[in-house]
Amino acid sequence: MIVIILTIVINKYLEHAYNILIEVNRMEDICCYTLAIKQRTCQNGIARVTDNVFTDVTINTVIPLAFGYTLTALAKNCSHITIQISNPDFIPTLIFNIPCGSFKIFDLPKESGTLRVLIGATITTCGKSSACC
Amino acid sequence: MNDFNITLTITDVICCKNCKDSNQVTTAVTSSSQTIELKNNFILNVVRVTSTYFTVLIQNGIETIIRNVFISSPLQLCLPCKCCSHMLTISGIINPT
Repeated sequence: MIVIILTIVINKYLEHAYNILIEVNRMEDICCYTLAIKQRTCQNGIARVTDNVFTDVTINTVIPLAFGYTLTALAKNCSHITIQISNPDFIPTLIFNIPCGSFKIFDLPKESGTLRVLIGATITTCGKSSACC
Repeated sequence: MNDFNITLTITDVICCKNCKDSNQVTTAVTSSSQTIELKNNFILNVVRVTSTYFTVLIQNGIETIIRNVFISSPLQLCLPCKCCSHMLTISGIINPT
């Protein structure tokens, strides 16, 4: 009797774990990030602002920024995106989390002055399909 | 991260409505995970040390400021602050490890 009850309980746990796995895979299949990136810099006394929106950002997507900086999407999660900012000429490679639906501002060094980058992140459906994430 | 040993001197000043709140600390930093708390919920980490400069990461959740501080001259920074002035002076001496 005890063995039967234990088997039923274990089967229920396995079924629950399987459902979670299916949900995670579904999310990885259809969900991408949208990153809004504003770059602000001052060169020779002239202020420059560049706005870009990158849709369908997935893991290992590399986005070049100004002055040799690159941004790499590292991990996919419902609640936040993990990004890596690197430029061997000025800074070590650094990793940050940005919550979905939020933004962070990075003030980065360059040869003279600074590069100010505002990165906003949200999670959206990959491509043009109409599924929900 | 590489091993390092650096003696940091930080002057952290907030000026608001004719009042000044100033604090100066001198502390040894030996790891990039060692966090120094600043005024106004900012924290500071040293993330890289070379023979001539070190890289500091200053953040408060929204703002992340990265600067290379050369040992030959202190770095002066004006941090974002609502209705006040938040000024930071950082200098460091790199000790042999």
